[in-house]
Amino acid sequence: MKKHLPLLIIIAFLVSGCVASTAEILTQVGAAVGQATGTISPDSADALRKNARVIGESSEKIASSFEDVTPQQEYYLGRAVAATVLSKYKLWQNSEATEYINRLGQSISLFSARPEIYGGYHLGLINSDEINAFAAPGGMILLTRGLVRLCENEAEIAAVIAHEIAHVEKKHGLRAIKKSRLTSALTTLTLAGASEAVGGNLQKLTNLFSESISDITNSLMNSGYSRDFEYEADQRAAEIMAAIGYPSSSLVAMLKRMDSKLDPDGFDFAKTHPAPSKRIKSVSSKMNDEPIPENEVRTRRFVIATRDI
Amino acid sequence: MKKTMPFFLILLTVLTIFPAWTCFAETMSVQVKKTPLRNSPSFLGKMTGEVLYGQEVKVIEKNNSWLKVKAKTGDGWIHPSALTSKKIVLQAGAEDVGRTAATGEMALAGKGFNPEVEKEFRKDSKLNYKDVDKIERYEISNQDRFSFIRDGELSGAGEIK
Repeated sequence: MKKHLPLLIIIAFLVSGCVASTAEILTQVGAAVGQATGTISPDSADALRKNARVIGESSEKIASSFEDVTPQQEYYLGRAVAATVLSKYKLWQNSEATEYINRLGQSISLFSARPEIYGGYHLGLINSDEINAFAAPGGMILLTRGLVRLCENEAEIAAVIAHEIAHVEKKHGLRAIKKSRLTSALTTLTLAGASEAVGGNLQKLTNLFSESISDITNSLMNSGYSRDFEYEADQRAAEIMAAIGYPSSSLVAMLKRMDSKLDPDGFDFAKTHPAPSKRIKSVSSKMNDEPIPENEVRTRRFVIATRDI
Repeated sequence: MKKTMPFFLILLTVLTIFPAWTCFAETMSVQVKKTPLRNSPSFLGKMTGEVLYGQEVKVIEKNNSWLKVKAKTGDGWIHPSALTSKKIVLQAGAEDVGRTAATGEMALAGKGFNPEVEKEFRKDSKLNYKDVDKIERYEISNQDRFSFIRDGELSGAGEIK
């Protein structure tokens, strides 16, 4: 019996369809470890990897997309994006207003598709008269005083925040990273652990990190996200608002006010977002126009928190 | 050989079924820095324990889109957005390259844009991380969020009781 055992195991694996993946694992691991430990040349390692690709098409999926960025990586990218924004603009240090937008924003986040996110949602106010807002990957959201000043009630700030949370939920920031950069970064990440020479990889990773931040901040601060991302964020904002109980018509009210205040040649929302009139048209199908009853607590907390805005 | 045939068949069956069986066992990984295990499927459920990024849990029950899991530190309810079906590898190694190739799934590698990279990045960039840390300190408890929603008479209060 004993002498048949290895044969039996091989047959069993053949039957269970494991053979392709097993061979692939062995080849891929061999290539990675061999190259990392210097026992085979990079060329040989490449040849081995090519061989593995022939064995199974699935290895093609090593090429990466924004979905392969881990929540932890998303968080550190977001911190760097927020640090970049806060190097250009100054933080407005008003604890009453900041506490209020965090109460509001973190409450709204419970009704998004990603209520739990690696480091949680955190909101800050920027000391600028511009009409602008930034959602960094990973849940850090920054609003300018100029934008909050435009809001006439809590539901309108909720509309602005829900739009930014939707950008985080849909990972629009990560999608701004160039695909080639992401593939390169994630391949380096995966191979990093197999290598003893982590130092070299750390420098390479840091460069890729820095370039990824530039991709995101360029979109956020200069070119803007694609129009489709903005329309998608508006539509999700309307849904999130309906879920928590704010009238989504406040989003339209806010957009109309922006339309009248924005300078078409300005460097803020006018530059990075589609025209408010187009956004209103796009979001109209998601509208829930039912007004909500006045509430004294809601009115009072809004007035107190925004009195110095 | 005749005597060994039944044994051979059993072994064959076990080895054929085993890989399929393990695919159906719902093991998930925690994808947030930390999250509580709760005693009921709600953000207001009492915390009975805590799980950390990368830890694996087994799903044992579902209710209203919440998941009851078995973790090393005990059982409890977790919101699904805190979990991923992908494996989170805290220290990526060669075997992950193999698994990635074999399963077509990216094993979420722990090496990468992490505190080490941030430290390296900050050496040259001189960016304003101080204010980022300041903003991160604003943390509103779920109980306070619930009070905020309830006191403002928002209909969503009924959803997170």
